[in-house]
Amino acid sequence: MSSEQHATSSWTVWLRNHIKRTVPEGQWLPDRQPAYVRSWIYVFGVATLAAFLFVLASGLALAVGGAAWWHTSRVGHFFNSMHLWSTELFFVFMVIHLWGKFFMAAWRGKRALTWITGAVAFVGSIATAFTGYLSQTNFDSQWISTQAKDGLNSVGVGALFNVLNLGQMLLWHIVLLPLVVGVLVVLHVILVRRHGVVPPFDAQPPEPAALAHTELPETAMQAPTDGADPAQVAR
Amino acid sequence: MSTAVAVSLINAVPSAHGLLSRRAYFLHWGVVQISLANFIIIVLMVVLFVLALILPFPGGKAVKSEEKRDEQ
Repeated sequence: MSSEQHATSSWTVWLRNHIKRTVPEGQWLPDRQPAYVRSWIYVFGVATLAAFLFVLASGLALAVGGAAWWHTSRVGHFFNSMHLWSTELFFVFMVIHLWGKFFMAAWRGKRALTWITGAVAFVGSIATAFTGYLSQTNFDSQWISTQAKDGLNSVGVGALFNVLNLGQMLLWHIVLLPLVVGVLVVLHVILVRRHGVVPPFDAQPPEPAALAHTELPETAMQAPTDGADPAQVAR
Repeated sequence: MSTAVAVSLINAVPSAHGLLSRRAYFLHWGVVQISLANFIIIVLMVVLFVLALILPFPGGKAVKSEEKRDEQ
């Protein structure tokens, strides 16, 4: 086998080329964005991501200490509250992100899969939050689980997904569902980088090369207006 | 973060828990029933959404794309 044949049959080369095609260099961590991105409505996606990182970090701290710790120690209470409030912010930011993208018809321009991964991640996050409420190990979680079991039993999933089984709910909450949501979030971000953020209805996005190029000379700096030249990029 | 700030943050947790432990106040409109806390959060989210659409974004600077520059 020649070295060329060896290179094309190698899975590492295939993967490298596949990654290059999916998200070309310069689109991973761009240093500039189209001018229309300079709007607060475009902030909520990354705000959701930031809140998600706080959820994961506080969740890891709770996993280290365990239930006895987060119920009895002040530091445990602090991390428990941080986990709750970062989750609240995660959902607030995600829902506003969803509203913004819905009214912008963000599935335009071959972005259907970006929209779908975001929507499924939203549903997965609700399931994760639900199992989180069931894992509190307090009267609240008991109340929620006894109310939920009837609904889930009525649709026939109670035997597989038993909300009264704390061990199962805790493992779904800290392993299975975060894995699903985490993978979906990574795919979602890759797709956003691949296709770029969705432009407003009246704007044409600049060519990807204009965003990837890092040596553009700067010209007159001005804030974009409603009639901003869509070919301009901002950083 | 100073130790005093950290301690005050940690001390705030039980008091917040006490505040939230009170019986929830519910609003009723026909078949619609929602707790006041949830209603306030939804209203705040709508306000935040509208503000995000109308408030100008600070900072940043504009540069012309390579294609536009070549045309000139």
